[in-house]
Amino acid sequence: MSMAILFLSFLGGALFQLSPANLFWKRIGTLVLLGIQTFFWWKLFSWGDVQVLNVGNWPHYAGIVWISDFLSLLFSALVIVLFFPTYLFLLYKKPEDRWLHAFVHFLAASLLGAFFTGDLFNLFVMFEVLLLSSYTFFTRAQKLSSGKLFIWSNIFGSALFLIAIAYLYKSCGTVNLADISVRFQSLSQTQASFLYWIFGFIFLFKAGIWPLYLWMPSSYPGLSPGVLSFFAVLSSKVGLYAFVRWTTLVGEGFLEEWRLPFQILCSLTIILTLAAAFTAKNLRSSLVYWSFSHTALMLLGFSLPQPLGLSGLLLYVLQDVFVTAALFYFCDAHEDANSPRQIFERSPQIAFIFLILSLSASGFPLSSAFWPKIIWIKAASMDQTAAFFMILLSAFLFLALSISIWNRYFVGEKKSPSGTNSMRLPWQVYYCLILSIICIGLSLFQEKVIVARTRHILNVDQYVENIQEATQKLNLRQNSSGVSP
Amino acid sequence: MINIYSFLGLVCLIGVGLRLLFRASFFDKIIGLTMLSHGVNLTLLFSGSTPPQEKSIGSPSFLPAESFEKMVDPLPQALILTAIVIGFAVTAFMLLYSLYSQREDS
Repeated sequence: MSMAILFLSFLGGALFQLSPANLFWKRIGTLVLLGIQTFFWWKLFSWGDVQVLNVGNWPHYAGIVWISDFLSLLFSALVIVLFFPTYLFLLYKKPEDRWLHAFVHFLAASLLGAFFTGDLFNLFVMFEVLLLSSYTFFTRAQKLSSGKLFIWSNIFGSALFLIAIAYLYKSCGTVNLADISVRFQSLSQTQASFLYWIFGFIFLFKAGIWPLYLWMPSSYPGLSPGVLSFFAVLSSKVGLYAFVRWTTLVGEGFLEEWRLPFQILCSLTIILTLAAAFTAKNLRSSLVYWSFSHTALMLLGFSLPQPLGLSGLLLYVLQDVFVTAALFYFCDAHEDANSPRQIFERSPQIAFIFLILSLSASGFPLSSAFWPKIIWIKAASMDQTAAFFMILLSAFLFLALSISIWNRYFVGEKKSPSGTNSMRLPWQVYYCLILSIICIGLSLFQEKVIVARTRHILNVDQYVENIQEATQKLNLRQNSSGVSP
Repeated sequence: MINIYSFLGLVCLIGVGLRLLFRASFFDKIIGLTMLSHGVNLTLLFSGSTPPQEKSIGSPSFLPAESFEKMVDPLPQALILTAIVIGFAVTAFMLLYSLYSQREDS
């Protein structure tokens, strides 16, 4: 029942499409829907442990399984919390895009589905729902053809995903993640390594690692800010989540074996995306590139010895989603402002809010991104010298970029007195700012909240046992009642 | 069971599909996409034609006292059905997208 959290978004999307013009009922409906979702999310969270739902009472090896554990609950919380400001932004700021509302619901549902799914084929289906929803966003982009490369490259990625699933099924005879993690041990080292990296390639493609982010430059900056702050922030996180889940279940050894090349790949992504962010022609493009360097930094941190690597990632992703979303909300207001280069003179408080947020994203001491970096530095200081220096270097580069962006887009030259309008910020910026401050509070209790939970995520045996136990209970119940699904 | 003819058919579908995808013509791209998706579905079908499925799925409740020695594993076929539906939706979307995109360019 608590997994209703998944289907409510699909239902919401379908229902709201029936009444496209009535904004009042859409607002009420969205609030009710989010209230119910939050209630069910909290129920799942308070139960703790790993919760399993066998859809239609089919055993896990022959049917669809939904699983909730700390990792999926954390990522799904990000979707629910960020959906609220995004949807209200689209309702009021972009009423001409009202036919997109249903697709924003479908996007949220597909994200939740991807985070809760227990098998790889279902993950593929959720990726496709996400991509089909996102393709429709590009029809409202500044130029329709800006999404062409994104769409075609994702079609290629989906085809590769299906071929990889076919090869996996031939090798392991299952698509269930828990069963795969058990059967991976009986595969030959070469076959297991090949399978791990082919799926790794697909997930890193979604996360936007170098050189697989080449589809991005013309596509993401073309989207409207409301969509950008939800879709661009969370869609790369799906790839990140899938890679983390895949690695924790089957491939921790493979990642350790290929740690240095992987770290070089992440470092290259950080440097190249930062270079692009420094030279980008507008605020939107700079922020989009910067968001990809954050994802690469998280992957670099994840490759460090566990459990510190994953703890840092969980803490980082939590604050990164809110801070980056807040920064994207600035784009619209910034572009609307008359003479945006002199905002500091006309609305200094707004310029300072941007500065605080960007410093927070860069990991300025005591800010929200600072604490996870400390965890990673602690993990890297043992024997990961290259990663240690890269994390330090990225911290300096992030700081330089945040100052550079602020100077370029908010301070500017003092000569031209053309602008008189003050810039108005949407309330969504303050909402995300408060959430990022809460993240700082959470960082102070990291040992209790995150690190202890990370050990549960890394305990694969517990994950597998819970799923097998659920199927055993199901079989017993069916045998005693003589009912087949 | 996969044999040389079906394997050649698979290679042809994926190869020609990919070749057509990279051509400039919009109609070629759509045909290429369709051929590629058929090739991928065929790959999925072949994945269910080997023995390990008996061990992996155990004795499912929908096939009491039966094994996969004498029959085809049904799971890849269920997966293909889903993949066909998704492929159809993507092709339909791409048709519209390409049409509107061409109109915008002209």
